[in-house]
Amino acid sequence: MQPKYLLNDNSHTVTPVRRNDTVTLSIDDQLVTVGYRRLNSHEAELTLKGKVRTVYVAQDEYKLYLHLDGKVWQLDRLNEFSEGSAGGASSGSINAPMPGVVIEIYSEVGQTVTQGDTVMLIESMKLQTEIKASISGVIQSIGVEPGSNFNKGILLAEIEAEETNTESEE
Amino acid sequence: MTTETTIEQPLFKKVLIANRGEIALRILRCLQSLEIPSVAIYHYSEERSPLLTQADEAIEIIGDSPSAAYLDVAQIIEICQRLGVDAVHPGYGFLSENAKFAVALAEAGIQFIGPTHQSIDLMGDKINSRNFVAERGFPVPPSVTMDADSPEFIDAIKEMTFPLVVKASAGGGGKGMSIVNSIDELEATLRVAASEAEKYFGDKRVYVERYFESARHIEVQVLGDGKTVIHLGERECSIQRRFQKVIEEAPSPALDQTKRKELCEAAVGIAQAANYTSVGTVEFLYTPQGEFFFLEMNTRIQVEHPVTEMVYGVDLIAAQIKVAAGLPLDLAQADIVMNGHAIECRLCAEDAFNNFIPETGKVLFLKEPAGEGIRFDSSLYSGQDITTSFDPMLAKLVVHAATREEAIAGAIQGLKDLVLLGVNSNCEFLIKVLEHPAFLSGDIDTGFINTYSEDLTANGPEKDQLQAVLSATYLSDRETTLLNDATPQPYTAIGHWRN
Repeated sequence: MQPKYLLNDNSHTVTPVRRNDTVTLSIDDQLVTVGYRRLNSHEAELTLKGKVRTVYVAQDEYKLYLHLDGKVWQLDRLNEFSEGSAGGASSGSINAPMPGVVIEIYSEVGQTVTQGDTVMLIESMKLQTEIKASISGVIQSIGVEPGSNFNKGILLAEIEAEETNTESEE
Repeated sequence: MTTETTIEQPLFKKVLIANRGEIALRILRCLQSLEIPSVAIYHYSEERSPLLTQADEAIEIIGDSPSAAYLDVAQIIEICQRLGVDAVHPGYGFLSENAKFAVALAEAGIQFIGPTHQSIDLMGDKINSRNFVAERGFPVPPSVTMDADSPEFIDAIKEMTFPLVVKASAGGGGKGMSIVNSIDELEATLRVAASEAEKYFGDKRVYVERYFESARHIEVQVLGDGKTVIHLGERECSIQRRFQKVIEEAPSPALDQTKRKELCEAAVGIAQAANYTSVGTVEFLYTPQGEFFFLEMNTRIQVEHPVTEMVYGVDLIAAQIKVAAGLPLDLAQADIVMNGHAIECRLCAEDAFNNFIPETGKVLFLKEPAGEGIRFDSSLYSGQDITTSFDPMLAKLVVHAATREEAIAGAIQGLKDLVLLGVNSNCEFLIKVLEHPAFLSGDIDTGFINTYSEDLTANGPEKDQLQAVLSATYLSDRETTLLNDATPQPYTAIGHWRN
């Protein structure tokens, strides 16, 4: 188990090394020894280099929230599958750029779309935004319905790239 | 807080709270202190709100969208009639400044806890209220009013000095306003302003006034019973973004006693001229030269009312309910004595470091700040879904102390003690504003957030802090702890378990 965590768009690797009274971890290839005492399901005491900090933690699947040093830190655990497959420039996954509500959907599952086609219209912060196809291909799924609210990052639609024939579209 | 007098007979038989969130709970507490039975309304998306269990009765309201439900006049009146409600508190936003709602309630024999519908009408229209105030000799900013598509509009404006602000007459709460810096920008803005004003407010009139870049926004709290009007000092609300207030305080660091008296007496004069009944706020622009101009009057209880309550020791909502019940003011101007300083910070679900984009999530853990002088007005609860259905404001932290410096320090500490996990908020941004030297000096104006935007950015973690964050993350992550707990022996024994 060598999880990677994303904090402010930077990914960090944490690897367990030793565990006795204290825990030794390799964080981004540097050895760090800490004391960690869980006080209850949301509260713990962390000792690092002689400094004791109270930490509050909460987790929603892969999203981890911490309160430490008077502020909140939000990290995402990256799993093995998420890297490379999601979010890349050539990906057919269209994720919500911000939370909002779906106004209208112009495409349906099975439909062939060309890169740049408007797939749906969303509204966020009183502004309407067109969501366009990131690649040319066939719509595999649509994750929302007209009128539904969605959170930032959720999958709005997924397009499977066409294996052949992409050149002859225009 | 006052109002601990014995009440022989409740002021109303039953009061319906036509609102949600922190203000609904705030009104409920006040009704409880006055021993008035309460009715809460809620949209099903909020069925786990603490409001439902704490109010005497709670009735679901239905709408095309959650906010539409809270705006449904016919439905709310039907509930009032069914449950024997004889008064409605509208809170702020939603129906609080809707004269038609006040009229509809009156026709149904139900008291609207607010001013008369005539006052709402007069002050709700920015052009009429400016004219009303100007005619009575109070200062208003230089401006031009016309139908935006009128051909003479541009000519009339050419006389004025840029920058200018274009406002929809029927707009409010920062909606329908834009700043223009040149005649070209103005022409482009006017082209869309009229159609937008008509679309959003059903009224295409707009007006253009001089925009004071370095002015402060200072407002005066007034309270009237239809005969007498008193003031409860001013609030400084200059820390704004896109005309939305972010941090408010009382008193204003800009005013000395002479100026305070002048400003507050102008506010009382304006409210008196309107025969104002209920709580209200007269908003002014205050220039570095010490001139002030009437901006608008808000005919409702405002979000930032707690700073006034803490400095003057008056429960404004209780006072508002008593006046609505027909009681004369039980406070005279001489009873209103300022004590110390109070600051309010609006906690919002938004990414303040990235264009204030709204944030959504679920409240996974909440620990409210507490301590002497700290008031946390909120209706947050564990498991609450934070969506974009409503305004992004989650809660208000209000801190009262003997001096401004102590109130600022208390607010910073309160924000650091607040633990809200599961939805990102502007908490760190609020701390950045409070810690800024310009804020500490009291030298602020409505351009503050823009002026200091380069200072108001998120700090990345320091090296030790990053290691602390990552260790705590790893050691609390359920995925890794499950795995580690399941395999304790080899894990300890393997020692260097690295590639």
